[in-house]
Amino acid sequence: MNLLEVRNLSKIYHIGSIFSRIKIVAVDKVSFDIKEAEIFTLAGESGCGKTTTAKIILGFEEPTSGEIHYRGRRVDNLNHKDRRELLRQIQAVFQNPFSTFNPLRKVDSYFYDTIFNLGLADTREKAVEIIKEKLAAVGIAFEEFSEKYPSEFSGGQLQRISIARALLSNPSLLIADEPVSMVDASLRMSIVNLFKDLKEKYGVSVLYITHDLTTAYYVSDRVAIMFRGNIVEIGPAEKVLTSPKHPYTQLLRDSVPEADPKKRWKEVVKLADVEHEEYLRQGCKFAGRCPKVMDVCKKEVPPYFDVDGVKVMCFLYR
Amino acid sequence: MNVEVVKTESLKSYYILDIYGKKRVIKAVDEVDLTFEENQIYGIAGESGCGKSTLLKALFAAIEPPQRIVGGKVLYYVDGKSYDVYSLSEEERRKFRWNFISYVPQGSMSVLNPVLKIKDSFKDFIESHVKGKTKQELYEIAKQHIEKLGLPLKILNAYPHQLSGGMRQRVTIALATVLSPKVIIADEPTTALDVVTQRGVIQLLKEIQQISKNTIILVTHDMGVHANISDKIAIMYAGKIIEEAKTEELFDNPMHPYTKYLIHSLPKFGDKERRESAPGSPPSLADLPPGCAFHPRCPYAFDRCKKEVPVLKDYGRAHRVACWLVEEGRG
Repeated sequence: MNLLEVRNLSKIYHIGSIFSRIKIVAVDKVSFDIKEAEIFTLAGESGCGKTTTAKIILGFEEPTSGEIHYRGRRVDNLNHKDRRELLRQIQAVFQNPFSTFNPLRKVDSYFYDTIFNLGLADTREKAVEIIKEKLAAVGIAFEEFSEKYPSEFSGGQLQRISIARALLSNPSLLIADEPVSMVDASLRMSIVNLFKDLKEKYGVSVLYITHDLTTAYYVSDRVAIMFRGNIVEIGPAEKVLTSPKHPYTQLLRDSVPEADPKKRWKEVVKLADVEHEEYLRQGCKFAGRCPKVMDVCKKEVPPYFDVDGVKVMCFLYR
Repeated sequence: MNVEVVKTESLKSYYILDIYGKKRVIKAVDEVDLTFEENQIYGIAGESGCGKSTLLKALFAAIEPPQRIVGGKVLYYVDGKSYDVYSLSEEERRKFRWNFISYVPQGSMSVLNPVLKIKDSFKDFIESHVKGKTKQELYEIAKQHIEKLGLPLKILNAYPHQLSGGMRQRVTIALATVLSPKVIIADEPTTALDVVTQRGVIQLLKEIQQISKNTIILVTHDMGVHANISDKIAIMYAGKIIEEAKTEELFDNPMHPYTKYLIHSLPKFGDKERRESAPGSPPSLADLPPGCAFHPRCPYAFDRCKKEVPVLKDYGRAHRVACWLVEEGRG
């Protein structure tokens, strides 16, 4: 059974005044599954809908339509009490560890709050035991952690601590929204490796949300590429990122600057001048920039085609 | 023959803070010797808090308290003459700024005036440096420049908020280059951008450099960007330059343990081998460890590293490193 199933999820925002409203489909009929002990990546550029999808799963945003199932049970329409129950199972790690914690509050107070709010322990001794265990999983010593303020840690340490906090309730699924983009380059891999270890040692699944395709390739089992609200390509990370099928994935993959001076870019790229025009486009939203565009792309929305174990939303594979 | 355009000589720039009578000294740039040559993209890499932005401000001669130049020199080579920038008056320095050396900052939103159209930002900017031109002539200069860089002309009539982040960053670059400076300093110009947009911005920088054969000093923490565009790279750690070499040489043969971590920890497509980060965390510039600042994180550190500060030395092929391991042949 799948751990999490997302079915036809959509989120529509309206922008502008009452006279000139523009409808932005931030998430457009997105469907995917996350299996037990799997790292699944939603990758894409800013404005592709990856964070909105995560927020809907966490219950921070209401979906316009669509369903979410957790272990076979529908969870997108829960009441407050059931939602809190669900949050034991699904926990989040955010982008900026310095804004996750209040700078005037000691970091360990968040741990005790989480433990007592979720009813994970009834005495402080038991709570300390849980905290020690979770800190050990992320490689932080309890002594260097207690009674300290966020400013006393480096970004990398603080991000590990926020992962440890998310682990307190033994969740089955971690939702990590750009967890390494604010972490220094020399420490980044230690966080990414941590997700790998959590999956391998504790069977935790991770929904990894990122714009960084190289770490996505390194850490994930399966990956979905999002563009302007749609998943345009979904499949095993190895296939999607080493031999991308959708022209957008190809462009994205090609634009990642590789740390190899022998692989410099040669061709010139075309950028969108005004971004919201692409959301409003009929047919395929990438048609305006696609080098292989056909007439049908401008009229009809492409369905998914199965190519070599990968689902691609593109008429080229008809 | 390589022609020097900007040079630093044992430059020291510190932040001197006075907190309730207690003096704190933050050594953000310490004993930096660098030479920037004509017709070159020079990359500076380092993590946040290593002093790279401080170094850029010192190079651009736009320092404000509490930042101070404590020692050393910054030299500009203009029309065959050299000027020691910090011995000049503020008025003389102002003349070099934007004409000789210009600066592309990180956040493009805060650079452009939100209530002015792009063409008026250009007009104001050019007007403050070039005297005696009419409004129409100034607009014409802006138009020609935008055309030369291959950006759409309609952006001149737009307000900053109407442009996408990538376009805004490219407009900022256009603005910084309109007076054809010999040196362009770019501080993390692509950091907040998406990969495809980042590629567009880098392309533009590369084109500008190829057209005008000037010098670009590019600062970014992203080694992938450096591999793609820089001709020569300096690695900065805790206020010092610890390694400098031509791009290919540096990637093929990194010598400092920190540089090795920086390059080898980057994941690559088609290779899922486990990669490790450097252990520990970067030190605070206000409280640096004695000896080599990297020694507490370095798995190969020995006695000398804990006591003496290593000096940046050329070990052949114009490859400079500051590491005792290399000096003693242990590396």
